[in-house]
Amino acid sequence: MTSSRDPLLIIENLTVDIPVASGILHAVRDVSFTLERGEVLGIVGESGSGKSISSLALMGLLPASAKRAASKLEFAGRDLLAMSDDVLAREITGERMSMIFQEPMTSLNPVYTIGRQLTEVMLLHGKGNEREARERALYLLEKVGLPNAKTRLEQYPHQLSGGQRQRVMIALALMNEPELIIADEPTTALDVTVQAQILRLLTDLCDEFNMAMILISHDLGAISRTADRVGVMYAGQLVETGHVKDVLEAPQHPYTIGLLSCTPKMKDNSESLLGTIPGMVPSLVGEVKGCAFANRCAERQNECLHRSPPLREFAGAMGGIRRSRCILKPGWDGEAKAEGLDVAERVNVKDITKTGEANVLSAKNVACHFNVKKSLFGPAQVLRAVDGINLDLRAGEILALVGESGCGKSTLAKLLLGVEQPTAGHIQLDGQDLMATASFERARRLQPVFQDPYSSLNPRKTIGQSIGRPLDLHKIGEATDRRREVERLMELVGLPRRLYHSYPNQISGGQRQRVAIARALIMKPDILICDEPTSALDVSVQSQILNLLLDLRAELGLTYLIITHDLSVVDYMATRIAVMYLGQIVEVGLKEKLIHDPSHPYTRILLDSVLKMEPGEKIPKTEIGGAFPNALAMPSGCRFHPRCPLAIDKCRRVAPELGTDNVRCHLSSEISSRTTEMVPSVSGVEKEVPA
Amino acid sequence: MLRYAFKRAVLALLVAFTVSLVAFFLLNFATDPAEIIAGEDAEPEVVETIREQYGFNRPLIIQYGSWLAGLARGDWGESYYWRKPVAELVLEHAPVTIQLALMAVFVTLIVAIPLAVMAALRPNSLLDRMALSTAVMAQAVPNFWLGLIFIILFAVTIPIFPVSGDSSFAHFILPSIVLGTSSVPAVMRLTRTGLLEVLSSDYIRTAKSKGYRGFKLLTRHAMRNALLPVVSVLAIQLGHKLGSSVVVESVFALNGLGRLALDSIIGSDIPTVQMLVFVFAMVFVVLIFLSDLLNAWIDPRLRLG
Repeated sequence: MTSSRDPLLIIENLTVDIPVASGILHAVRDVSFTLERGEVLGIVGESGSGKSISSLALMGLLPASAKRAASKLEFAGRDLLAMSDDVLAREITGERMSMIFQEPMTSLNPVYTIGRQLTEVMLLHGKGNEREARERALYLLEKVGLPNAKTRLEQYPHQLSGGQRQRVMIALALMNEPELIIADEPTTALDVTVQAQILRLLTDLCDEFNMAMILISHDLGAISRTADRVGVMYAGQLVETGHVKDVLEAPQHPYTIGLLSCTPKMKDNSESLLGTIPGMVPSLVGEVKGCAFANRCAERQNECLHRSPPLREFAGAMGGIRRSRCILKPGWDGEAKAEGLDVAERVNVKDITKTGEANVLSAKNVACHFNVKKSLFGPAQVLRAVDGINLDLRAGEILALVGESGCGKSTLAKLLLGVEQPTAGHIQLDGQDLMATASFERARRLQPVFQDPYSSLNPRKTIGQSIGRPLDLHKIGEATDRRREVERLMELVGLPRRLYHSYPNQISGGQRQRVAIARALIMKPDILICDEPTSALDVSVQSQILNLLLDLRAELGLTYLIITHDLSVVDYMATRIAVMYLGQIVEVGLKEKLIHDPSHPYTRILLDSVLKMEPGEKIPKTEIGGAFPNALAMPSGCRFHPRCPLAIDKCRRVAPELGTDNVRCHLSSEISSRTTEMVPSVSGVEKEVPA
Repeated sequence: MLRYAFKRAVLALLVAFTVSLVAFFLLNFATDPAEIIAGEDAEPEVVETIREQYGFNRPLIIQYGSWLAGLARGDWGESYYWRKPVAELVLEHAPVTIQLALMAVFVTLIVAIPLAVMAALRPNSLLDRMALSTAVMAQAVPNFWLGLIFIILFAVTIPIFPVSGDSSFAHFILPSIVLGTSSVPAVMRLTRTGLLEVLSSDYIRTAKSKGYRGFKLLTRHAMRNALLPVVSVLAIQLGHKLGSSVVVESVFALNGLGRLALDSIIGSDIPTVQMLVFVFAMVFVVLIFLSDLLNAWIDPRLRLG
């Protein structure tokens, strides 16, 4: 930003306005930054902060109705403002500037081959002929870690897994050797093991080709390990920018401080609660008065409500200029504040060392197999979603069930809820067979909270009706009693009473999840089964919901089974952890043991793949062999052996049992005797995903 | 692809078999062919003789079997009404209807697709609104009325086209326009919706990020995906045209299959009606089979899934 040798991109006062039904949405407001060649700029922010829109504005991909304005928009010495959309498309986008999108599953055209989609971008910009484009595509597919590139060229997107498709997207972005890559949440839709690989690949490629990258992410851990500089966006503005170490380790803007305190960090063993940012992002429709963060800011002064805060510039400790859009002078005790928030006010609330004794809910050799028929006359194949699981949920504990997508964790949740019937084994609730328990009894003991607060509420029912529905169903109490009970629960989960008559589309995502929790609690159950309860939420809302769950547990003595793929959430919440792989539990243990001294190679790799927030650190090289296998074609012997860096011959032949140490591995005794330094580094060979 | 085609073909054959069953049994349950042949007020003995002679006294399942065997041999039975082989009748009348149907579908395509593309490129624009409201109107107008209006306008008042008959190409122009307009709304709306959906999809955003814009974006990335549902609907529309050209054929005095069907029904000519029902159904089966193949060619997920 300072002595800019050769700034690749200069953006000054970029604004994007989008007309919506209720007025003008100021999606991006006055954003300025510069980017040098080879530099990685991380942009963090929550949904609706304008981080995607600003990059779409650069690429000329805004919806037709949106209006873009800026005082300067310069890319590699060319003035983008003076350029028509057609010229931009012809000379810049796809050629010198390319983009990787968040949704690998839908971002490739399903009806054309990978080869055509790769080569066309080179042909379109006249960068080579058919043969050269093909060679370049082959070279890049190898480069991004897709072996058998020749066959890949002939394949269609649906024949590849999500991780593989994202690799194709990266190769696509690199076809014309662009000077700038914009990666918009490139790994958010992918499993944690794949995420580390993809991000590492991207940063390596930037180094190799001296490309600049704008990496947009909500994941502070990922940003901390990839970016040189960070920009924090809030309500359409860049509120803080600077060197990654400066911003993440000594944040100046109250929003950055809040965001950091909300993020589970997976390193301190402190008993403290996560911080929260109260309130909601203000609407950006119409005029935004004063500081957009003022309504949620702990440091708010009177002036903040009326005047836009100044953009202060100051020198960062790591060099370069830092900027913070705040009334507070740089060097205020922001850093101390960040520490201070970690100090628990209610330590006892987060007493996650307390684990239960008595088994309340048990799975005994439970299996759930589905018959999958691929054709009308073909033989049915057996999908073993859950295959011989023994798992006890103990009173008062928070058991986390983790695993990659497709491992069967959601099916297990359905079995435990009694929604799905096991094909073998049985589920016991207090020693009684769950299937034999009356539905009323079941509802009084067990309740679910689902992932998607948007679709799990009936849009035609008011909040009050949705919460009170179980009472109606089971005919409990009079109408007035029910109403009182619903209001009591709304208060308990922190929902304002005035929302009683609101509809789901009128409230925020966090509030909807509170509604789901209130509805689950109205039957006064003692067990909640939460399937990815916060995956659809922003971090600041996630921390609110997680803390609410902890609060409720302390207050009501609840037992939780939390199903999630997010290990930092697991680390924050769980007392005990069960790791699932291809329908089986591969390791169970108390949190401390499992997080700090994992025994199963899979657990180890999962934990190594988590990108903890370490500004300036590189992404660890933990390559797991192969893609997540197809559950229709189970590997022989140990199910993990095709991807296991330690697999020996025995693993291929003999399936290990879940031993007395609660680890399903032939080598577990050996592994735990090794140091924790063990880093498996067998490079992976991606397997075909059978169509 | 071959496997897919084979599976589709087996399904088509099963449908054909079911149709033949229904066509045969429904008609033979509903009427007594012997009485029809004998005519009204015929002596019971005569009816009985006819029954004996034509084999109507055999169990229905046997009659069905011999009808089916005849179908396979190309012997489609004998018309009671026209006193000649049904096969001959159908072949005589088919060309007129086929020409009419193909021309009508052509009219549908050249009107509906460009309109849909223009409407989809500028959704909610004046053109889009006009196209949509014209579509609603076109759907509401009955074929016979439009046909008569066209005759009055373009054959009588301004005599550019012949009034009726099927002896030259010019005779087919007005009827195919009338028949074609009736499916413009369905095809246009489907193409427009499909295209709009495709244009807002993630892979079109990817194509734009590659530098595709305008017409090239449409032809290189959007059209193929948007045409998937249209192909199926066109197949069904074409089938409809062949099967339901009765009205238009009557209005313009075209001597096609529609007219043949109408006359056979009036004449209670069971073998012909039965055969026409079967033929119309077969046309559908074949067209849908072809559209499945075409779709599989367009969409690799069908062919390799």
